[in-house]
Parts: sequence; C-alpha cells; structure tokens
Amino acid sequence: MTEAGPVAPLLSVRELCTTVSSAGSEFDVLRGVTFAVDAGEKIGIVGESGSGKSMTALSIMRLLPRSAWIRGGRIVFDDADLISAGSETMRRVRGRKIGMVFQDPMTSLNPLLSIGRQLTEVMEEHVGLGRRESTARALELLERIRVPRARQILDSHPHQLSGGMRQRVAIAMALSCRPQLVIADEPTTALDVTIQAEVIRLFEDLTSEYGTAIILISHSLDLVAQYCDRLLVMYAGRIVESGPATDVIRNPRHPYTADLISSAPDITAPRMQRFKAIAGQPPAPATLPRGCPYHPRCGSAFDRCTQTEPVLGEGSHAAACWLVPELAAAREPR
Amino acid sequence: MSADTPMRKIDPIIEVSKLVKTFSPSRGLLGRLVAPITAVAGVSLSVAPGRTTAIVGESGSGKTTLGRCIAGIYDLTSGSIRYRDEPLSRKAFRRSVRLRRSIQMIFQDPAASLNPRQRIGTTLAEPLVVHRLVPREDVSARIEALLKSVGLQASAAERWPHEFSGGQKQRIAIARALALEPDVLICDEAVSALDVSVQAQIINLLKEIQEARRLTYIFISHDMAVVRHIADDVVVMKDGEAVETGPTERIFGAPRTAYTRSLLDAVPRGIAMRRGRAH
Repeated sequence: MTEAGPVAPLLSVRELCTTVSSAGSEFDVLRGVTFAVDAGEKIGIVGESGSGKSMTALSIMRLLPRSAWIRGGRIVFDDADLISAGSETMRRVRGRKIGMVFQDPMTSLNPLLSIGRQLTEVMEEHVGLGRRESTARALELLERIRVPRARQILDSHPHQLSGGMRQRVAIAMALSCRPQLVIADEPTTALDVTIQAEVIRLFEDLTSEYGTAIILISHSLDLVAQYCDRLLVMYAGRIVESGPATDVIRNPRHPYTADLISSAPDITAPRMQRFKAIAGQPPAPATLPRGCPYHPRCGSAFDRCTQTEPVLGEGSHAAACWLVPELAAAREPR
Repeated sequence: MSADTPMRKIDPIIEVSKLVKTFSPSRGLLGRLVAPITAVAGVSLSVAPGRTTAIVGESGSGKTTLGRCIAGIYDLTSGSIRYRDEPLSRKAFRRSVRLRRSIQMIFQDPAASLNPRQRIGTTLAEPLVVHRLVPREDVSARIEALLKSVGLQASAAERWPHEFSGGQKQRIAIARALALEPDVLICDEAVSALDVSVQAQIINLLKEIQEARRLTYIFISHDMAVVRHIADDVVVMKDGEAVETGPTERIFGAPRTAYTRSLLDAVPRGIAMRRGRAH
C-alpha cells in the first residue's frame, strides 16, 4: 500500500491529463489521474467504456495514437521521468522494464516471425543474451506457462496457434526480460472462460515468482477483485475510488462503485428477478455533465454534485464523492 | 420458477431432435477438398413456452449454429426441428410468412439489424407495413408504443442509428423484433458487448417484456453469471453436442458433468470472494 515511507513507489502517476482530438475538437480523456504502484504490487483498474482505463495504460507506455497526447501531469517510473523521456529511452523501458499484454495478442506478435525468434529477439536486444542462452530461456518460459510441445511452438508462426496459445506466448514475451511491471489491458477478454482462468493463474504464478508488479485493466470487477490487492475504479477520465480490494468491495465509498457491484451478475447468488441496473449510460468524454460526472446516474446526488466536481481524497481508501465525510467537510476541494 | 401448478406436462414450443449441421466448403484454396466441419453433432432439446432456455458453451461449441438453425438461417443437414406442430426448416421459413413473424432473433451487435441510412421510425415501420400488421394510419402510433415498450421516447423515431449508444441500439433492435409480435425470440449474445451497467438494464427489459407478452426466449450466451439470472433451463454445449441439460438451479447447484463444472469454476467471482461468501 502507499504509505508515505522512505521508499519511493515503483510507478508514480500524478495529475495525468491526456487529450484527444477528434473531428476538429479536443477533449480530455484523462482528467487528472493520480495513483502509485509499489514493487510487486497487483493493482486492478476497472471501468466501463470511455472511462479512460486503456488511455491510462497507453499514456504510461507512451503508446498513444497520433490523435492523442499527454497535456499535463507526471509519470515517474523507477526514478525516471517518462513524460520527458526520449523515444530511445522509452524503447528501453518498454519490454525491458515494463512488459505489456493487450486484449489482442497480435498487437504484440509479429505475424512474419517465428515464435522462437520473437522471444529471443526481445532478450537479445534488451538483456544482451546470446542466441543460445535466449533460446534456452524462451523454451523454459514456454514450458513454465504450460505450452505443450514447446520446442515445436518455437518454430511455429502466430497464425498457427489458437487465440489462447497466442495470448500465452504474448505473456511469455512480456515477462521474458523479467520486467519490474507488467501492464495488462483486458488480457483475457477475448478468450473462453476456461482458458481465461488458466491464463490468469499463470500470470499469478509468474508475477509472484519474479516479484513483478502488475496493473490489470478490465471491465470486469469480478476479475480484478479476485486477482488484485488494490483497486482503482475509473469513471469519465478520473479515478473515483481507490483502496484495498476487500475494503472497496465490502464498503464502497463511491456510489458508482456500489452500483457497479450490485449490477454485476453474481454467479454465486440465487436467481434475481431483476438486476439493480444503473440508469443511463457512461458519458462520452466530449459531453461530460457539469459537476460530478456521475451525478445524472447517481441515486444519492444533491445540489453540490451538480455544481462542483469532487476530487479523489487522500488516504488508503479514498473516493471522489461529496458524500465522503472528509470531502464534505472541506469548503473547497483539496 | 413461479407458475407452479404442480407438474402438468406442457408441450414444448420448440423441439429439436438429433439435429446435425455440417458446413462443407465445396473446395478449398487451390481446389483441394476440404473436410466438412460438423458444427452441431446430433443435438436434441425441447424449449418450454413462456420460459427462457439458455444455450451455453465456449467458442466453437456450436451454440450459435444451433440458434441459427432454429431461426431458419441455415439448412439442416439431418435431424429435425418442430415449432408447435410444424416442421421448421429454411424452406419452411421461406414459404410461411407466419413462421417468419413468429420466430425473431437479436444479435450481439445491434447495429447489424439497423440500417444506418434509415431513421429509426422507418426501420420500425417496415415490418409493420410489409406484414400489414396495422392500418397505415395507425403505424406511427404503433411505433410510438413499441419505442415506449423498450424504454425509449417517441422522438427516437425521427433519429438515426448512429445517434444512439450500444444499449439504446439494442433496445431498438428488440423493438424491431417485437414489431412482428413473435412467439419466440432468439437472443444471440445479445447483452455480451454491453457495459455492465447497461447490460443489467437490457436484461431487466428482456424480463419485463417476457412477463408482459409471455414470450419464449432462447438465450445463447457464453456468460454463465448472466445465464444464472435469466434462464429457466440450460443446455450446455461442447464440440457440437449437448453435454448437459436441465433446470438452471440444478445445473448451477449440482452440475453432473465435469465439463459443466469446469465452466462454472472458471468464472471469476472476486466480488463474492472479497465479501467472504465464496470459497
């Protein structure tokens, strides 16, 4: 957890603002995102479409599409400022220090190269291993993630593998240089549920063995709550609640989190006649309502919520909501 | 579920028996013979009227093909499907206007059932006019009623598909299916692509409509958690076969096959776990 101690966090993101231009107008998709990740920590980011969860990942990796740019804030990783870093530095950070896994494994796989070549290339480039060492390590990695016939897989090309197998290879690649942090954006969303469970288990094994920190991004609260130590709930380009997973689930402090929990279909509960749905839909970044962006859908909204947007408070379990006593007491946010 | 006048035998509204559907690509690349793919390999099941039967399974299990056979989109390779007292086939659908009205389908991507160049009102009017369901002067009143029944305002009729969110488009697709006053609605992953908060709205809407119109649903889904709360009966498919069939509570409470169990176990349940209710 983020205690104010002498040890700096592995990753610190402060007041991150990212802007997108579309059809001649500009709007902020991230509006002041602040969080930190300690070494070895497992952080889950959950949110609906347009909440900014993927934009957060792409901003950190500096892999934003051309139409988007970081407008402000700080990103410090392992004492290095990633916002001012040049593209050479970023190339070294990506892969070597921060591994990435995307929803579509083909994002990180080259269709023209054999699996073996792709795995060894990363290790040769980043860790300076020789061909023989890197091949041995690639083989070992594939075996670790329970890829059957690993030696044969090394010689095959991505199109010859199933979706689940490709994602396993993508994970192996992300972990091949033993990065300090892995960012996984919906890594199992495209996979069948039984394969999803397997892939997550494998992730869990490897990251805990190597002490890798992980940011797991998903639309599924059930998934991130199961796997992560700490949760960040995003809505309309901001973190609206953050805290230890158990606290967030048992005592959500933001009405959105509470609503998200109660609208999730619970496989362990007996049949419900009706779901507790949230009215309306997540706002588009271009047309945010005034005040708290959740207020039009919120059952507890009052005057203040329609006027001023609350800011995420301090502390290990915080929420950006005027109902939270610490915030309500303050005249002005912060 | 409710409506429990003890165990009167109810005739199924749809009965599938020993259905086989193979796809044989006539010739592959370079004219090579390609082995036919058996998507559905001898499935039998019955669907009770006014209830929801879920067909669940992973990708490649044949659940979508089965749904499309019932909807008359594919020819059957062998076996049969009956709707009430008549045999269902692609040919039967082509011949019978009544059949085409009675069995409707909605899809994961609602945009697929909406013409991007037609106003919503036009899209909804089309089936009413083609099937002469209402006199011309009553069409707009009917459209308004349809929109209202799916939770949209009458003004939606004047707007274009792209002006609506995914959840709203699915509402419109449902309205379009309802325009024909069907008996059976086949929902193929109809809520899978929606945000969690919106998904709950659409599930509630489907339940309300079912209660009001006594519709029969065939709910094709990979999402076991959703199925638990919407289905009365469940058919679990794997590799083209129905590996387990039964009432929802029994399937979830005491699965009889290892496959069903593995499907259930794999579902993430972090919320229940953190609350200390599961495991």
